Amino acid sequence: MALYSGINLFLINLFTIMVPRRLFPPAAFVWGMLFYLLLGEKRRGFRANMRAVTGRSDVEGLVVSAYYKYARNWCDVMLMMRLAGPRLQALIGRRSTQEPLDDALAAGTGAILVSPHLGNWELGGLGLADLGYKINVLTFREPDEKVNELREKVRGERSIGFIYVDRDDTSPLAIIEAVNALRRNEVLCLLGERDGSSHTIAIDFFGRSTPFPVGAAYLSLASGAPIIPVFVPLEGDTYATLMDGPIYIEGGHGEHGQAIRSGMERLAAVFERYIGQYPDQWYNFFDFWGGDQPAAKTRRI
Amino acid sequence: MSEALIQKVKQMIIESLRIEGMSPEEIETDAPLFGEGLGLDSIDALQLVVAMEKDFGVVVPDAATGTKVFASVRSMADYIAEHKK
Repeated sequence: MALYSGINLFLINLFTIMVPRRLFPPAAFVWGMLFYLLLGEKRRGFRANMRAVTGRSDVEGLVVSAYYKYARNWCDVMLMMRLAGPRLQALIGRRSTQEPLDDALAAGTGAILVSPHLGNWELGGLGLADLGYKINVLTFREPDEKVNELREKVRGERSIGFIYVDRDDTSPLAIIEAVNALRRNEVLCLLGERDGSSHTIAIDFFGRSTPFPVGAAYLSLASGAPIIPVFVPLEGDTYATLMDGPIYIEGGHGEHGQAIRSGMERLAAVFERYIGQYPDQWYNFFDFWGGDQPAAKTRRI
Repeated sequence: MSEALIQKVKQMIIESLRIEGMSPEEIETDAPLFGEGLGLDSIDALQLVVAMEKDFGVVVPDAATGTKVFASVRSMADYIAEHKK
């Protein structure tokens, strides 16, 4: 049973139309527990991740909490797709400085916002687009075309650009459109810790060798745009929008490999810090280090 | 296409990729840029996309065009001559 499917999204959307937001938590708890009980393999995968992140063996509280928060997250995702302006911004509570982003745009380089699969990352993009930033999302196609259609419709209404990446395309030229968006001084958003592309390098992540996608580093190196780690965790009833310091990746011909490794190690360290703070919102419902992700080729640069 | 433009493209490659100790004369006009030719790598390709827009105002819109454009110095110069504003 896929958590991220057209039928699930339809049902959640229907629910969020009929029910006020204050009733999302109890409903999310029921949904979350249902999925927790029914999806044993995903539960075991998530539990393994929590043990790796926290270093503890008893993590069941985090696993239960994650299913609840993920269900709640999806209610809010479907709700916020119908919101704009102050009603959308009201979903955001604590806000960190946006200085790294504004500085990058003032310098004319564009900016690469990278989030792990933590919290409500979709809200981050929508919130920035709502504030007038020109946003582009670099993403893979979902297996369910109805999910792609929904995402394109919602983002299209807010002038958020889409750049699809072919998982199997080994040519770096596949991300030319993303480079061009940065050259236009626009913002590029992508998810940055999950393997699935054809370009990865092995990085130490929570003490384990982990294939990290290097697309963001390629883009930074080529364009001069900084990588800015961003996080949108649930805090109480609202989401925090947190922006960490910029990571610049620089190096001339023949120095690319080392520059990319160094930048990715810094990014992984920032991810570790935030995932450590919000472990139950790191939504990877499979054994992250268990090797059951789509096959990818770790390559030399 | 003018020899001057070919020289400019070679100079752009050296400067934008920060290739030390190489002069434009050492770059063969028709040799492949990647692999056995000039030996550029995948990041270099993206940096050339940026440099072409900066220096010549010419955009390489997608991967299919990029594959043709970055075949050699001559193909780059051809594309620039055709699309320069």
